Amino acid sequence: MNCKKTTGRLNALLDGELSPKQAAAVREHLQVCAQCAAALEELRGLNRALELMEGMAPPRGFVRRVRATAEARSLTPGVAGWRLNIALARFAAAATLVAGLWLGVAMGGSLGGRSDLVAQADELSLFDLQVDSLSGAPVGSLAETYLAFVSEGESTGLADWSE
Amino acid sequence: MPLPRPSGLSPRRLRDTLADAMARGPCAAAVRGDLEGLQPYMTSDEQLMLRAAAGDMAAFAELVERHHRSALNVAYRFLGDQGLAEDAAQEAFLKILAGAGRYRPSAQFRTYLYNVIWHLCVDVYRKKRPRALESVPTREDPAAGPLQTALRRERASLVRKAIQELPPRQRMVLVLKHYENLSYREIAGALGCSLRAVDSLLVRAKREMKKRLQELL
Repeated sequence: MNCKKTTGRLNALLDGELSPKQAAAVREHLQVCAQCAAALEELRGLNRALELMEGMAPPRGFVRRVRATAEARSLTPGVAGWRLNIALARFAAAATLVAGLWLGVAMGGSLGGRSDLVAQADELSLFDLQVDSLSGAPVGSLAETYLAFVSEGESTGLADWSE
Repeated sequence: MPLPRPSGLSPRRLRDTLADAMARGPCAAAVRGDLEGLQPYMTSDEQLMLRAAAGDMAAFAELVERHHRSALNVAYRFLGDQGLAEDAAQEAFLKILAGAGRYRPSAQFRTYLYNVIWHLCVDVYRKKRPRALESVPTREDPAAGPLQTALRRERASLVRKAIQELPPRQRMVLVLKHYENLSYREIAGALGCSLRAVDSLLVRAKREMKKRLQELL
């Protein structure tokens, strides 16, 4: 094994990632090459230096906060959450429909007074304003007979009840 | 309040369904092989994850309890800032919970965890480019004098700055290998790259670190 291959495998050797055969080949070269042996020592020194940087202490209450945040966000994992979202969407759609219907009924109710006024106007025009809504009734119709009976008192073929 | 349990997704039912498929399906041998391959991974982490997927928040909390130190330390050593590291680690667990329904125990849970942390850390790195803190936490040696303690702190600060100057992939590979003692294969799984790439990234990372820390070596 040459120096280039050896130096390229020193990391893997220290990390225990070489096969036994590969590790043996590297060690064999290290025994006869002072330059590569020095490079290995440098790597060991680097690994010791890396130990100087330590991690961080877990903040107090971290686990509790993560769980509380998950519950506050109503995180429902995977399919469960998907189904819940669909149910919520359907509920929202139904609620919107009901609200729309209610609004429509409410608006319709506020227009109800106008129909009463129309009915009163019709009543007035027929009886108080002497408007004959039956004028122009077809010949021989019950409406024509009634008009003749109430306006002139002559019999039109119906039984004379006054007799 | 317990979350609703979706039908058909309980761990027991999943196992029963798979066992049934093994016994009757045309690909029974393949399924059997897959399940046997999975057996070493069906440890309590993966079972907790399946329970969390079914809405068991206590199982989720147990997973967080087991892995929060690793998650925090990886994020901290990558980002160099404790506040950002705490945010990233918390978000990683929340993302894992939100996606738990899609989790498949094809690898160890912690490989999945590191993968999520990796993506979150890269996002933070690209958005915030955190600046190094002045002080670095160091383990206090009660036997060391004030001069030695100060020297140790200064050297730790040099190491931390040198790590922060590495490109993201080299940095994460170094953190996962040296500080979390993951194998090359696990690192490849976490970062979604090949074994050869992990080896190459580590070689380059250490070469850069040697240059920057020459005075310490």
